[in-house]
Amino acid sequence: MASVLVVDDSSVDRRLVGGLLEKDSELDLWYAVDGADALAKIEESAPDLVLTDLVMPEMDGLTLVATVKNRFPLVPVILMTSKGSEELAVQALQAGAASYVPKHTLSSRLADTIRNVLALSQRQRCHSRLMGSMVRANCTFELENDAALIGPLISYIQEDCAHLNLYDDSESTRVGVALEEALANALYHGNLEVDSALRESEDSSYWQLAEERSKVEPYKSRRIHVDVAISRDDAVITIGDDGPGFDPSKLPDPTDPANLEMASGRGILLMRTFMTEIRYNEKGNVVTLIKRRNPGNNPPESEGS
Amino acid sequence: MSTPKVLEFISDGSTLVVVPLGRVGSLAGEGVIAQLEELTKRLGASGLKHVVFDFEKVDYFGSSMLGAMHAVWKHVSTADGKMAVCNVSEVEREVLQVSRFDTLWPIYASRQEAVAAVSE
Repeated sequence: MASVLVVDDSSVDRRLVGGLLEKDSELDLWYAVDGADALAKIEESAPDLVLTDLVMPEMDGLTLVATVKNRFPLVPVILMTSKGSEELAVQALQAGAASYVPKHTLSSRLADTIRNVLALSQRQRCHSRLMGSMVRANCTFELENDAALIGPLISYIQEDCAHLNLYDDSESTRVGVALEEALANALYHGNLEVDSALRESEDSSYWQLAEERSKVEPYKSRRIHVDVAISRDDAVITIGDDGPGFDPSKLPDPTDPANLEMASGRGILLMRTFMTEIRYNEKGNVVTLIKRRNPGNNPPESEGS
Repeated sequence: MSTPKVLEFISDGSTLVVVPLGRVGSLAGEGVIAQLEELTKRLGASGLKHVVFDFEKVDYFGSSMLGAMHAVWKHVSTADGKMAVCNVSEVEREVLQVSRFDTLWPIYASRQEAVAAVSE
């Protein structure tokens, strides 16, 4: 049986909704008179779904949506909208409400909408439980020389790290910066062999050369090879390119004031700063980036339900 | 390769406020460079001497953005102007500190403070 918390300051509307939903024996209905009352009840015991009016005293529906989304992300919220509250409804949907039903269509649409949202929510809960049971994630990618693929790859790695609760949000951003630098190096300096000295100019010659080379051999057929191994202890990401390699020890120290004007080495400096460890192979075309678990983050525990 | 708009420019007295939008990591370099020319033209316009980079709308940036900021700073310093940075996240502050650029461009909590400081 799914529990539904009905939130409305109007006793008439609460009775109306109750009458429509009580026919469904699979629903256990709870009631609250405004957002503050609803939040107190949710904190006591989280329902499977919240169905709320928008305009209410104490705490309105918009604030309730934002609070539930933040504190109880797996509890979906459906809005009941009245004429005149459309703008507020758009804001609530942007804040994370799952769906909405205009009050004048409650009798025809409410039951179906609740059923659909509950089914989707159930799948999300199961998915969340499944991801919480993950022990290790291993995958390998072979990327074309297309910068558009790099952002999604980084997001994918960050999501797997989040499933294994390796880091907090801030640390995840640091890992993202380091990976972006390493992948950009593999693409532009490794496979396309574009010299970072060109970046010191203020024109687009660096990017133009990259564009030209991405269409001709031998650069065109080169790939970025990414191995991802994430466990409950660390993330190990190995990024290789098919370029000639380089000697990282010959890069200028970008923290030396004399080298502030030089673009070379800034990316690797950020990689070293934000990862626990980075190391290059002898040829200099494969870099391994390692990030250990944040001491404050515990491994995920399997949820009971 | 596309070049989406990644910087917004706002004039405030003698200061040009540059607001990076969306992704300005190391993959956005092309978009940043494409707008650098417009930025330097605005700097040449009468009365605009100082620059404030306001990072309110982004959570991080990388080496590409540092390179672009350095290019802007060369214009600003040549014209005896000042440059500052504001509204940085924890990670952005670290990027500036580790690259030592915080020694060139002071970091302020708000745009108002930064604009006031460079205009002194």
